[in-house]
Amino acid sequence: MEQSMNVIECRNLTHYYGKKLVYQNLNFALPEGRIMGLLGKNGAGKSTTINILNGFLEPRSGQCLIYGEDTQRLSPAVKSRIGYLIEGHVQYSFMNVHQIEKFYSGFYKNWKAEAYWELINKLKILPRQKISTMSCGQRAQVALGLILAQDPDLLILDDFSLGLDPGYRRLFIDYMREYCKAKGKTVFLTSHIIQDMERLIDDVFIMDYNRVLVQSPVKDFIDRFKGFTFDLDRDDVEFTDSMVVNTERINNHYEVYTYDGESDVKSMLDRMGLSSTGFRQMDLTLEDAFIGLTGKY
Amino acid sequence: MIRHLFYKEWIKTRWAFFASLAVGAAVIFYIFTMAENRMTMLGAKSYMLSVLYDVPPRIYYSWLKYLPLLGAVCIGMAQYVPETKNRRIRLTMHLPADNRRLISWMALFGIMLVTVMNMLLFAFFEYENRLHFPAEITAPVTATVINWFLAAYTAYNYIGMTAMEPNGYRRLIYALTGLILLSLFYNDVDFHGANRGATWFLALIALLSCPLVLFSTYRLNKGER
Repeated sequence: MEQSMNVIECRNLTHYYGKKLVYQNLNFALPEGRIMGLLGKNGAGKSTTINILNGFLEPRSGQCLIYGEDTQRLSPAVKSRIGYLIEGHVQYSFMNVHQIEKFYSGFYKNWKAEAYWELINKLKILPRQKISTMSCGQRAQVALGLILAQDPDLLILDDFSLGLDPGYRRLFIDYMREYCKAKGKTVFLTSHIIQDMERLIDDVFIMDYNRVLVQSPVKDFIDRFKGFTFDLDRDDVEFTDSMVVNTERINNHYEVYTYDGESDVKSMLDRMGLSSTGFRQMDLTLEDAFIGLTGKY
Repeated sequence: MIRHLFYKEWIKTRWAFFASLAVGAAVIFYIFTMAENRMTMLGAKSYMLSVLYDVPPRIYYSWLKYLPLLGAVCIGMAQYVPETKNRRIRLTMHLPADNRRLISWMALFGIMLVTVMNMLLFAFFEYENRLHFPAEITAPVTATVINWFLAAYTAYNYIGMTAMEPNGYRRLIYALTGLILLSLFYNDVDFHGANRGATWFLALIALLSCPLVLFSTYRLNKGER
């Protein structure tokens, strides 16, 4: 099978804020045509990664390449191939719907104004309405419309679901998924609402403090990662076996997360001399798996 | 591309520009209306003598002193504050062009706007001044007020530098440095034509402050905190 080229490639990325290490020697790549979701708790380094990718932050060491160019020195030609959605759908709020389209159209050779107006016309807003007077959902649609008009090859979406109600989130995701898959776009995104991501992403990239926990197709991760729940007659058991990735406990009710199978977990309990009741495997969504992997705290 | 960038800058700054112009014109109108009133009350000859020989002299144009500065501050704030809110400047830096060039064009636009405002207010002031006073008064007065118009450029440039700086402590340092430098433009006017010797030096300060915004933008771009 032909190997597709990497649109994003980060090598040995290390960054500190002052003396606080964010991550060390982080490596990841995003092949062309894939949609990758970056997940992590607050402070895990998601925004740092997005800022480095956009050239708004210089890493302490290592480098990120987009279309083969260092993100600290992107040429205008490569910049024009990247669509960027800022956290909270930040746009020039002092402009109105018409002005913002006119402004951006001067910067992109292949500007598709009709794609923008098609989306805007679905909203019940006037062309002279200022962006600052719009709801978060309407602003999201304007930002999305601008990205569609730019028609970039790579989309970087930073916490795209922030502030959106469920309806707008779903609309945004369905629109984005259809657009990206139909046109073979590459997407790198973050979101706090993981259940949304499941509908959108191909690959998952999970970061915890200072390290990468998972980098794989989302389906592989969901298939491989498992959670088991059971009750024990004690509430002080610590699972130190290397097969256990994480444990959650409420009184004597336990949840054990692992990449191993049911029989391996049962064997572990036998080795520890523990008898369980109500043993069952949980159905994990991506959100459950993420929490199972990184812990609730 | 530049046309579209200027379009954005114009949308941000146009009300501040027009408001500065309107207030400026109103103040200049007030200055000369008051001068006219005094001439009517005291008699032209007596008023002119008081303007020339009173100790300290009658500085009939003192209302003009901070006017260009305030106009430039309004224009600078209107231009840079929306860019710093939510770090919106990232949108501009993401545009397909060299970042330094984009910021330079933004700053150039602001300087052009301050220049237009300065020129219009200066022209109006000069027109009214020459209409009401003889050359013995207008020539030294012009030399004095030029420094006040130069202060507008320095103020604008320091606002750009301070607004774009990502670090709060540095912002404070820049603002204080800017205020100290600006005080050089406003030495006491003990006689008409005061501080005329400093004009070239002050023009140099105004000129050298032009690229300061690029330094802050460079730090912002590097992700300095």
